[in-house]
Amino acid sequence: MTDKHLIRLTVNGTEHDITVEPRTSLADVLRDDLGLTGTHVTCEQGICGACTVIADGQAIRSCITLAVQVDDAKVETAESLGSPANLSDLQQAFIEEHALQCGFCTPGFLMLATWLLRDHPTVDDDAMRAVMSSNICRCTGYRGILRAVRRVRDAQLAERPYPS
Amino acid sequence: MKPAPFDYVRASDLDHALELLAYSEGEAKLIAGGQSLNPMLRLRLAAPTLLIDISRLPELRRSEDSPNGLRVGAGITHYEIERGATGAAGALARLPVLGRTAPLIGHAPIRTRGTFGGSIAHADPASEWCLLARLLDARVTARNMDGEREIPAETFFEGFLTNALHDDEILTSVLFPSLPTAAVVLELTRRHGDFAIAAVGAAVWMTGTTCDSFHLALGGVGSTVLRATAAEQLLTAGSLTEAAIAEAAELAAQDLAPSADIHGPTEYRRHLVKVLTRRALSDLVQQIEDGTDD
Amino acid sequence: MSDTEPAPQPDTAAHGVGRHIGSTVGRAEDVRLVTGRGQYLADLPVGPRLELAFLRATDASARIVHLDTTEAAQSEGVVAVYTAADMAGVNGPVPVVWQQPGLLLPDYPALAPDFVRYAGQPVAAVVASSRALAEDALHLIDVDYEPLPPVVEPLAALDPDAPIVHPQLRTNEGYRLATSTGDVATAFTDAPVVVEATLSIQRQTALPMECRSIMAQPGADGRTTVWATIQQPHLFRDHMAAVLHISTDQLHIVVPDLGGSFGAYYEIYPEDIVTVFAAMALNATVCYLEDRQESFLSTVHAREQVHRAALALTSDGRILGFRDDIVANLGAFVDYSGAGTATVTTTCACGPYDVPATEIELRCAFTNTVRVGAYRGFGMPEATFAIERMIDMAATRLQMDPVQLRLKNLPGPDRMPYTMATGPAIDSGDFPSLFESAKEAIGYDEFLAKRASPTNGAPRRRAGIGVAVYVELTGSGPSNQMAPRGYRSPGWEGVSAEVRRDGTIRVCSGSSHLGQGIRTGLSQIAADQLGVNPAQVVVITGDTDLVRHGNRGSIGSRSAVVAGNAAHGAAVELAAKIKAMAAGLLEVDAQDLVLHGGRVSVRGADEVGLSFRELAEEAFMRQRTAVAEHPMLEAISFYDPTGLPASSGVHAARVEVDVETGEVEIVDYVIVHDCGVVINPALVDGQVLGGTAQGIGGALLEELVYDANGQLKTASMMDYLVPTAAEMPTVKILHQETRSPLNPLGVKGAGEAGTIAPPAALANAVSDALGVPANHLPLSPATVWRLARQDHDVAGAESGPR
Repeated sequence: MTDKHLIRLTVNGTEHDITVEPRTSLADVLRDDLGLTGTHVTCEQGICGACTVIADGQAIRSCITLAVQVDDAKVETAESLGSPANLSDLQQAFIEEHALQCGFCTPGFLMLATWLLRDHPTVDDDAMRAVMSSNICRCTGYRGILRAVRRVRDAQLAERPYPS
Repeated sequence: MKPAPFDYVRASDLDHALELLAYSEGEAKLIAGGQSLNPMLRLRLAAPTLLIDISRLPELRRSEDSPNGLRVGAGITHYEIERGATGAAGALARLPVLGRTAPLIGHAPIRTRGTFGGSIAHADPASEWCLLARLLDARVTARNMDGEREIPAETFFEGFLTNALHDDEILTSVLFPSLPTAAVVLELTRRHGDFAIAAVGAAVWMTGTTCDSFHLALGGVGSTVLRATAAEQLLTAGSLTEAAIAEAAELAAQDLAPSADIHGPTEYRRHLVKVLTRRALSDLVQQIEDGTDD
Repeated sequence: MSDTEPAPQPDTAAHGVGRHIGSTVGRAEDVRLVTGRGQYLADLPVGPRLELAFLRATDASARIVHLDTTEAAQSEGVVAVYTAADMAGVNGPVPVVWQQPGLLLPDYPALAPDFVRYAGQPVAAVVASSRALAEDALHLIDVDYEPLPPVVEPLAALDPDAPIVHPQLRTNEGYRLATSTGDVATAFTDAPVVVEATLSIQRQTALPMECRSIMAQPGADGRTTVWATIQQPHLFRDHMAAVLHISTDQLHIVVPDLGGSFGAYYEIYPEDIVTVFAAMALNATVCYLEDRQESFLSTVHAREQVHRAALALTSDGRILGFRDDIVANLGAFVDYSGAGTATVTTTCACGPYDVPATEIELRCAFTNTVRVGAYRGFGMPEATFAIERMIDMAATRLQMDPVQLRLKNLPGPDRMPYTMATGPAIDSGDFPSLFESAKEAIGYDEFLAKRASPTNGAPRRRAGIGVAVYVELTGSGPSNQMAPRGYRSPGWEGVSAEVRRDGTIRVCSGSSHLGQGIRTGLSQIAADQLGVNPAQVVVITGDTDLVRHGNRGSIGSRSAVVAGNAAHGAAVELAAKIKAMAAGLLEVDAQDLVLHGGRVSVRGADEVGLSFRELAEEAFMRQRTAVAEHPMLEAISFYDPTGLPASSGVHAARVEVDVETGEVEIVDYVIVHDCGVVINPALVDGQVLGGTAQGIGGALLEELVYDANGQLKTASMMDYLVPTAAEMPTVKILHQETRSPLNPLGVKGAGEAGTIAPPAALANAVSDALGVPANHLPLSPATVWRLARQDHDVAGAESGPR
């Protein structure tokens, strides 16, 4: 057993002071300490993307990020995107485009897409496919996921055109 | 799949990090983005007693373009390089092949945390940055409590995941002393974002239309990145005709003995080097004609 | 439908008017799942729980000479350490539900007592306050093995000199099945054309996104609640109780949200037994969350077969006979279905073709590897790959168009139902029409016409086109024909439907939710009979207390067929009860009543009626109704299939092969699919497309590789390559609806079909592009490059610039 560290994370707008073992991943802290079980863990090797969250504005794999590494960070998880009564555009589009079946990978995909459209609002279809290939879905064959992200991108651009 | 326990310290500045490292006597590991280290910790393939976090050291985030060349701070992330000419990575626009190569590294959420220096230090022969460092004869700056030294890429990469750093040294930056007229990195992966089965880098230095020097580096087909010296000599001496390209590709591949793995036998990987070399050189010719790498 | 077109939107006009079957109804769970409120097993808020970690065999075959857990037991946070000795009497064997007559059945212990038979086999278990502490303790277990020679390849295992995996069995041949029809010897002797080939299908695995998980929580009442990632909760309960020597009533099995499955959860695993045992022994909540490395080393693998096939034809392309000598790998023990997957391969070996003489031999070998068992497709992709490659090779030999050759040998719609050479009947279908649609959508004739025109030299990229046809025998039954084949579970499903006191409708089914949307499908079926919106039907699955009758759960593309028709039957019966009761209360004839909008009312006089709530209240209170006359508004209906509704389809692929690198790009991909009446188009498309993604993975990417020592070299998602968004082509899905005559709804299963044809269609396309047969999967770049080098033109092209 090693010394525990006190870290501060602002998760979905709420500040938390948490004592963690250095070996604990951000994903495990989100799930076990904060009860935010929308972030899923499955490969634990940074390959599948199910654990994708946004930390200080960047999409990251929370399974291969130690919690101590992101001390003081602002973290966003799937729970921040929208509530059942007030879904985000991406959440709504995922439902309407049948972008999920078992739903296990869905929070990771939503966080990846949320980051992508924020970071790169004019992303073209090819670049979008490349970024969305960061995460693995074993159910859908990806069609609904790509359609949903394209749809939200198009709606956002129609609302607020960016210079290309 | 949980790591063995370890202690953790975030270094307050570079000197602090060097001090911690010096006193750990080889039992500590440095962590920046941790995108290679964390998976190894989880498999307990690495079990340091202490992790020293150097990800927030401003000393490692400086990049500069000077008469000595282009210096890339070890702590710059792949994604910063990819997204280009702002902030710490701003100076890097002088070497456009950096920005073109960054998207080949893993996936976007890996690139947002993984660092340039981390990749170099990890010394994976399939790493795009290691390939580029070897291709462009980069010099690695290593520092310990006593001072700094420069290590040429040629001797820095000692073997598979093995570098020339001493236990008490931190890789602080990498210097590209001479910027090529044109440079290309080409690789073949099984899926988008996977490690390269084989990768080829080609670079040319020209004065006017005369070729001064030609470099060819091969990734993922040996224990370290290799240079195809025979092919380089041929190309430096002659012109980039189709025949020369074909011959250089043969030369680049002929003495290789890449080990077989789940993605293919030795013969296939050697053949890939030939194909990728030819294609990289054709791309390079195109780039010279277009003048895109100015 | 192209990639860029919008998905079908909910047909709101159809809601509440009695025709929900056939419309895209959204899933109730989606809102929860997109807001991070899913309740997968590891997410359940059960309070403090202990975690399990397993010490796994590092050798593929070895004797355990020393095992000491003393130090581990004293490690921080450790509550218990178990070995086989601690589990005496309940240490398995792991149950097998389908025991083919003649199958050799070695006991598969929960924890290895003396020998280990594959790398990854559980040897000891640590229970600790956290997974990290449990793993720390694993490293303190002192274990020594005496290595024994392993055998890894099934063909090698059948060699008389091979090491024997289970010495007490005296052979590695765990199962043998030989069947023949017609006069095969004459067919081959007289045939003007005989095509022969060896074909292989690699080892794969289902790889659901959620790793296998189980949690057991003993209650004060002596019952233990078990949450588990499983496809058949009722059978799981019965088998687990039998292993642990407790009554089935002491177990309450709950299936939380499942992160996939695809066959991986169709098992009771050694770790499951240890988890429930540990929870009961410790009287504490104990949880085992498999990690991904363990999933590769323990969860069943799949496919791995070698076929030596021969096809005899007339010179004008009429099939005379088919021979297939199949060798399949069982792994170190048999899976839940025994040699089931390979057995299904033999049933589908001839495809849907009219083959007058057949000889199919299957040999299944034990090896020192992880068990080979269930994965979506279940033996059918293997069979389809072999026969469809053989047909294409015959077409090449005969210089016939591959589609023409197929049509010449397929039974036309006029011959339905058609009894296949291997026994079962295809109940319905229209193959010529499937091909017509597929050819048009992929531009088959245009492609061939373009290729016929001269090109200059051999290009670096070669284009090819390939098709594959299949039938999938879904919804297995009837029960009385399954028992003689060794099934220890029947074919029926029982579904209950009731109007609850508050007027809501509840449907309970033993089928399981795996992400496929079965709850939505069943709600549509019930809603149609009860005149309500599907959203008003609550469907309960995956709970052995709430669902009284269940057995095989969701496997084998059976839920829509078996549970669907049971739900239909229950809803029909419930509707009759509603009408009968309302008729008495309203003093009208039941025949004059209609169900609409949650009410029962007189046809044409909607105001004369009762809401379901009013009716249910009266059924509960019995103020105006005689008890004997009208019991509760509830119906249970059992459906036992009378045959196997046969889904069918054609996949067509256009590829471009880079002959220098061996890379295969899928340029266009078309699916024409017939699963009878489509209950929910979006859900069916999802099943078909998702299955196709797995099939494409199997064709080009996915491969589990063992080294000669029995060490798995691909035990991570970095090395086991499943398709990402970048590898998936644009896929067009077209539907053809040939109603099944076998069941009231006219439906056929749709869950597995997508996986069946892609390896065959893509291998045919690659073979077409290269002019060389591609008979070994996966078609990795290295494999395709090697094939390309067999072609003279390509070798010539190689030295030139691109």
